[in-house]
Amino acid sequence: MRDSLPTTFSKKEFPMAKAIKVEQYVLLPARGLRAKSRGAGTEAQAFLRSTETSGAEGVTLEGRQVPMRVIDSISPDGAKLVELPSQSMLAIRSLLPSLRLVPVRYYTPATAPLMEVATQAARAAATAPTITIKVLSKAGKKPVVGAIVVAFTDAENGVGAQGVSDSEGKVELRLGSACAEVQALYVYPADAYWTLRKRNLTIKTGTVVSLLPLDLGYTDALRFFYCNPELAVGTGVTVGVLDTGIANHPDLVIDGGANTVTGEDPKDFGDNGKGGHGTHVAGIIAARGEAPTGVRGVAPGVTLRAYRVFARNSGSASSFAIAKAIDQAVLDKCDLLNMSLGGGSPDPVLAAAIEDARADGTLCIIAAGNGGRQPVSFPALLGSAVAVSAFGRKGTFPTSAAEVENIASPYGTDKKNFVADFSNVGPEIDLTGPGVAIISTVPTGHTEISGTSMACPAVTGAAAAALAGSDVLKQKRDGARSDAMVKALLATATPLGFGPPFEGHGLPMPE
Amino acid sequence: MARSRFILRYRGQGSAPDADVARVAGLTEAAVVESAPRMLLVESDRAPLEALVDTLEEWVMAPEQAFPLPDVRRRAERPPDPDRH
Repeated sequence: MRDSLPTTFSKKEFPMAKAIKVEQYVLLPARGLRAKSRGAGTEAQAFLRSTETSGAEGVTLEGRQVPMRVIDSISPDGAKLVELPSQSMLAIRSLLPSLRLVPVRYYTPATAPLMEVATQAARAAATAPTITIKVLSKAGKKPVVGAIVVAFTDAENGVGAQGVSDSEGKVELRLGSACAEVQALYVYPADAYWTLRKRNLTIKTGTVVSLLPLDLGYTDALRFFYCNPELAVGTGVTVGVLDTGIANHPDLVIDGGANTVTGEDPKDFGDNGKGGHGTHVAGIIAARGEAPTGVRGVAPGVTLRAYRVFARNSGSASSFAIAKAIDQAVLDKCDLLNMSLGGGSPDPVLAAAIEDARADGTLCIIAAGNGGRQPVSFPALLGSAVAVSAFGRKGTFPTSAAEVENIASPYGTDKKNFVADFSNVGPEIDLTGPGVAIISTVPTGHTEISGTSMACPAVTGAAAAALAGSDVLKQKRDGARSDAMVKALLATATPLGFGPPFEGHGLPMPE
Repeated sequence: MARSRFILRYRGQGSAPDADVARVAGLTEAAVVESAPRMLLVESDRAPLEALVDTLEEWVMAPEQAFPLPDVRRRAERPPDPDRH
């Protein structure tokens, strides 16, 4: 193996910047390790062979000089260990989407959490006095039912208590005393209201917290960037949502779907009773309502299909159910699959399902994860996936909302835009989407939620808008079709100024 | 030792070959929980299943894994110690 590059390229080598950090990656086909593998396009095969020489420096792609240094190769047409700056990484992913660029990773042993400490503390707290506070609407003073209330007496160390408001808006909190100094109080309503954050307050039984009602005509980050599209936008594109199911809702038209949870009714693809995550995601893509009674998604004209992978009343999804849903969605001729899920260890079966979908002309768009600047989660990190980070915009939610804590650097060229503090980031990020305080549909009405889970469907909707009416959709359903969809999507992206590890190519903004 | 659940996925073209599926189903230490055109969900000890899969072409195997519902809401990790008040 050759010596490594210096840690920067000069401006002469890469004219877009003065000094650019280089990283090591493994460059390989979408499937397997050699160019002849299924799913590798002809351009990708030619590219791998053209870079067969260990030590090759720089390549030309569609007339563009792309700085890259080959350090090692497993065979002339096989995977390469390369060093390149992030701009080269973006160029290769854009121009040769059937190749994967996987960052070289180093693994350290995991340590087990100290569960016993929490258990002991829980036993002690069970005997502590209870404080009952009330959650009411700001205007009418009506009780807010089903709101999650979290109060921290020591926010930095996660010390506090939480509860859910009952039919009278009452919540019981065990904070160690009858009158507690609370560093931070958060309220997350089930629907109809903005979240709330209050700092440094004293609470006791009888304390009232008031929530601002949600105005469905409010310009949140989704509507700021995508306005209110015509109902026909996205027509001709079939989008599958792999999630907690999609509830019947006045703003949504569901074409069909499946439930792939082992032991459950395959036709029960409605909401699984666990907060309406999938219904919210679906609304961001395809809601067809209009303020003041409804909301509009990014591509309301799509054919929307629901694939429920989370079991009834459960907050977890089996990798088998997810992989089975992907296979089913491919058979159902979905063009795009939205996967606002992930985490855990890389799984070869799920990876194979996503790669197979791509080889069969179906593209998986996957949330990067909410680890807070952690590396991109599995399966979004797969080269065969489109990985989406989340950003927000100041002024698109009230200053009293819990989302004020999601404001973090880096900021964009427009300083009101920021990368959400919870968003995972890294070289695998392809695109970014609005994911802070997004108003959308839930089984009981509408609510605002944040997460890369919300940024992902914004990008899926934008992809549908970009592809609608395009000749790409008429192509044979194979890997070349998927590659063409990726190219068409990336071509609509506008960098917001966060930098490639945070936004990839930027925000897709189809005309 | 308790048996675990594993997923077997066929990576070749089309559906999984019937002969391969029959061999997995015939493994005495294993029980097929669910089957799909390209996958099997199998409850088994790892070693015998892994040994069989090694003899099958174009199959991958992984333990069944659970993915949590994503959520960015704050959560209290532990309650206050009442002795401090």
